[in-house]
Amino acid sequence: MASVIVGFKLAGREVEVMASPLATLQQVLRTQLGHTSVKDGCRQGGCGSCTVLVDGEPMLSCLLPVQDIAGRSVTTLEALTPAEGLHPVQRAFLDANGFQCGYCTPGMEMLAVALLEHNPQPTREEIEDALGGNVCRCTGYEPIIEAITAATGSREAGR
Amino acid sequence: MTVSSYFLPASVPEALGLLGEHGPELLVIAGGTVAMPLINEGISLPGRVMGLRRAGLDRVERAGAELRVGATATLTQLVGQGDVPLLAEAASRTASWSVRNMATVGGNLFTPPPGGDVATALLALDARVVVAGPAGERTLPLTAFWTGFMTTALASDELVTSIIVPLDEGRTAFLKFGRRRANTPAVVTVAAHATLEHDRVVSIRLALGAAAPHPVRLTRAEAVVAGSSLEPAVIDEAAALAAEDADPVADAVASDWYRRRMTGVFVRRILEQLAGRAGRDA
Amino acid sequence: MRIQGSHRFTAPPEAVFAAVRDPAVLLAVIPGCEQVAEVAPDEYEGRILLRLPGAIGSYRTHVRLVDVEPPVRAGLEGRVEGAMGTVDGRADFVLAPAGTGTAMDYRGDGRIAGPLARLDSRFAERLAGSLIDQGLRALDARLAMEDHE
Repeated sequence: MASVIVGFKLAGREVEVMASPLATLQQVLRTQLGHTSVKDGCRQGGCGSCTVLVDGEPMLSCLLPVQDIAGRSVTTLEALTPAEGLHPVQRAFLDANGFQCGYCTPGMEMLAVALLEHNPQPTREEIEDALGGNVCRCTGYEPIIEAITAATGSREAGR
Repeated sequence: MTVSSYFLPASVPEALGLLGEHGPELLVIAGGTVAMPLINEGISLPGRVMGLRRAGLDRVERAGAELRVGATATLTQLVGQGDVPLLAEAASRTASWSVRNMATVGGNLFTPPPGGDVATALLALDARVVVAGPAGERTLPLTAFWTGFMTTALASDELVTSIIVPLDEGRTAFLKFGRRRANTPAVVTVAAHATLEHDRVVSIRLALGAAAPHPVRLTRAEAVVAGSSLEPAVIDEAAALAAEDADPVADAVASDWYRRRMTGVFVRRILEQLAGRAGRDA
Repeated sequence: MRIQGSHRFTAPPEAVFAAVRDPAVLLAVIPGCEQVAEVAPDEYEGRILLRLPGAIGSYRTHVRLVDVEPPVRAGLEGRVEGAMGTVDGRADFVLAPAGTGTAMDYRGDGRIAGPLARLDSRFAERLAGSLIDQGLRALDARLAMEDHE
């Protein structure tokens, strides 16, 4: 079985990994690069806890062969967390009690970042639609929606 | 058995060459949203795999009175195009944002039962499939593409390269009924395309998804609707014929009797929607 | 997993029955069949490649014909096995003359083990039925062709 070398950008830096031919981005991020915010929930594309951004667009890393994203830019929660303090989305989730066990949180936060990049003032329905592929077993989703609404910094958003 | 080779050809000729070289043992994937769960689960164990993401098949472009959709154009690209609202809607009701960024239009033709919702919409739009093989290119109507349960007219040395959608002024509608609102497989999906003169139906195409081994045209229902003004009695008859003609696959989503029943309900609703009036549910 | 169905052949029962016992014919008509060899009288081993959208699997097959009453009926007992799982089962078929051709009725059941068992059994039944149907149609076509030679 021939391993391949795959290069891509992570957290603004070029990285190179050696991976088996159909290794997924999820496997590479978690086991080789230590980005364990990317969860290993179902490997079926059904839970969303492996959500990462590829060139700013949310994708499910458990279904994505790492070779497919060679040369592209990958963002995980580790990549977004500043050296000091918190990213505004992380702060908003913390302030709104937007997590309990925290397992779904990285995926939810990646979606929030991508959503607000596309649509800085999403309606509540737009937030719900964006989160449609990510499962939370703890919060009932309401605190997550509140967190994202708060992260827009606007009272008009989330209606 | 782990995957020994994964190929990412940079062009269709290169992809066809790999297919020719490795034969039926080569698994072809595009968005990976059907194949990777099966591989991750150990149900599918290919030795060699070919991915199509880099093969240059992802353009969506308008060419005269047609929309040419590359086979690996994503569902998100379909959501974002404005030329065919029916496709934008069908794509937006499929899966989730992340999956739509990965899943492809071509791949949606191969979705196992209950089948692809975009595929159902394409059937109502009278789309054609362009296939490339060692002998060159051929085009076939989507109505001839599916040949049975999980089987298609594609030979093992061929690839779907694009889907062609005629553009016109027809009135379209799309209804998908799932167990929940988001990220749900369908109990039934119906897509319709009609041309009307005042309130008279000049032509109609009704496609049914999730209630047969692959998307099907409801030709008997179409026959009673064509030429009518979508009167309640016509809609009743069309809905009843549609329910008879469904050939549902029972699965974890829904039983076959429920799918058959919902076929009637949703064909009724879509015809009422085309007629521009809401109605009672049977 | 249960399967049952019927099929019409243009060839007469004797020809259909003989075909089922001929490895060369089985090789040609079983979908995805890559290899079939008779290892003992009415006992066959082989390999099939199952190709579905998104899934490929290679399976070893071992089948014995039992309770053979030519040209009317026989049972097929066997196992299909791969890394993805195993199907053990038995199917029986009955042939009756239908005009100049044959009417076949068959039924069978199988137990699925391994990762394949995670698939919905109704899906597996539908899939098995579809593969059998493809094989029988291929057999019909082949016998019809031989008839004209």
